[in-house]
Amino acid sequence: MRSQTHQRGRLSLAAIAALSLLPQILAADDTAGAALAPACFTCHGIDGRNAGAIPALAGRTETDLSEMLTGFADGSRPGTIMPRLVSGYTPEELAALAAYFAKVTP
Amino acid sequence: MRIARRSLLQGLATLPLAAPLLAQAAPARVTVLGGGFGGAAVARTLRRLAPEVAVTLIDRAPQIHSCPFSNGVLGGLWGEDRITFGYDGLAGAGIAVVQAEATALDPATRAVTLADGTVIDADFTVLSPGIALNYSAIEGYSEDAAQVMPHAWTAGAQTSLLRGQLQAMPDGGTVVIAVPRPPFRCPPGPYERASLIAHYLQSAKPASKILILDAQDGFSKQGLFEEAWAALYPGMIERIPGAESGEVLSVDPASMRVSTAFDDVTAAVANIIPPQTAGAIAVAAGLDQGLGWCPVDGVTLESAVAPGVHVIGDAAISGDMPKSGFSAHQQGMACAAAIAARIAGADPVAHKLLNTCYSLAAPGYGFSVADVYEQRPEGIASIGTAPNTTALGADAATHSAEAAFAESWFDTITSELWG
Repeated sequence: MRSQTHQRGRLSLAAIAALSLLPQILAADDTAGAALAPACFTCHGIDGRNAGAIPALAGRTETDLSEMLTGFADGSRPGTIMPRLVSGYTPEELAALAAYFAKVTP
Repeated sequence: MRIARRSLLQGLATLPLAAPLLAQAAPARVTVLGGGFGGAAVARTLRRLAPEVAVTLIDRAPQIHSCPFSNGVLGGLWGEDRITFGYDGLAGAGIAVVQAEATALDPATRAVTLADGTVIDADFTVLSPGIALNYSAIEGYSEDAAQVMPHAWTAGAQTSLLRGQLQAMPDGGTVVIAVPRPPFRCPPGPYERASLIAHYLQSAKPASKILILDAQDGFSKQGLFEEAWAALYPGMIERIPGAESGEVLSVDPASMRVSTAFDDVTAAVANIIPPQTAGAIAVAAGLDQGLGWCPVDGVTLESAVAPGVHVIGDAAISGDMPKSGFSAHQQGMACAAAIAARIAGADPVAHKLLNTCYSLAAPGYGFSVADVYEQRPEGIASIGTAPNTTALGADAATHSAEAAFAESWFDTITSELWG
């Protein structure tokens, strides 16, 4: 019991430490994503909301978006212009874009 | 605008600088000259990022006629209604839309003078004036001559005129397309035009020819166009490059003669695209420094000549970005973010920008050039590492998808700007 409590306490401390960093991580993502995202609006609409032959980005999960972008980048996902465009972005930037559009309310 | 505005402003306002404009009682005033892809993007983006700012948009015309997709009108793919948009949507978004000819910009005060003498003061003035046509570069060409030999390089009445001439010409005639030396608006545009006119002629007047008299040696997406022409329009399109004296030096509208250094051609229809400069108001204000196009800071798009005056789109020297509606839209969003940052007392931040230019060789047959750019104070630089165009030999499904994406892009951007 004591050991478990102790462990739970350590986990809690770790969790608290992580939580205390979270706002910074999110803020960094938000800032980077918000600065990068408008480039996507010209085809996908403001905040990625326009759905057509070019698909909407809003309403997708971060995992879904991230898998698509990294797939275009590593060649595992076929595309027309997207593989060319993602070649100009770092993995961190692609992650920030995925995080940004995942938060948009469709 | 939920996420974008809040988080972008957080990003912009990271530096705790003084906010002189916010401290004023009156809201900041921004004047935008030109309601095209660049100007409308600035106005719309400012409304999203800084709704307290008073935005005035001035355009001489009551409607915008989009140059992108105007070649589809010439080819009979769709009507002029597809490329024509009003400014009611901008007015409805809280932008003061003024239909008037702006006759002068004072680079020292940023004030714009209208034809009726009204002076519009502003804290920031953004010029998105597009191009001016240098008629006098071609002997015999003029604004009047363009009523006989249309340029159709600004859309609208010129597009209708050229379309009408194509419909009226007899089968077996030659359509001449004169292409100027670069830089000019829409580098792949003349060749998309040749393609879509060929599409029309192939069914309506199959004995006709298209002759491209070109001041350039090579051209945008050349391999893709030539591949498409060989597949779709064998023998119909001939091109004389600059190295073989393709440049048109003079024209005679009375006899429909088009002349290069080597040859005189009698055209059934002559589409004469003259050399271009930045829009007249920017040149008259000296913003081009005698270069014909306006030097700007690559991050803020602020004029190198006039503080507080920004120049975007075709009129600007924007490094590696081509003169396209897509580029103008991207620069417009970046320029608005820079102005919003300054109004908030923050430093503007550099963005990555994109350009994608789709071209249609026929209905359902599209291809593209797509690039990523980085904003740097000294200019906007291309940074992508992958091949930037559709691959040669791409299959029909790829060309079909790119044609569908072209239409999707056009419908999205035009509804976002003018819807």
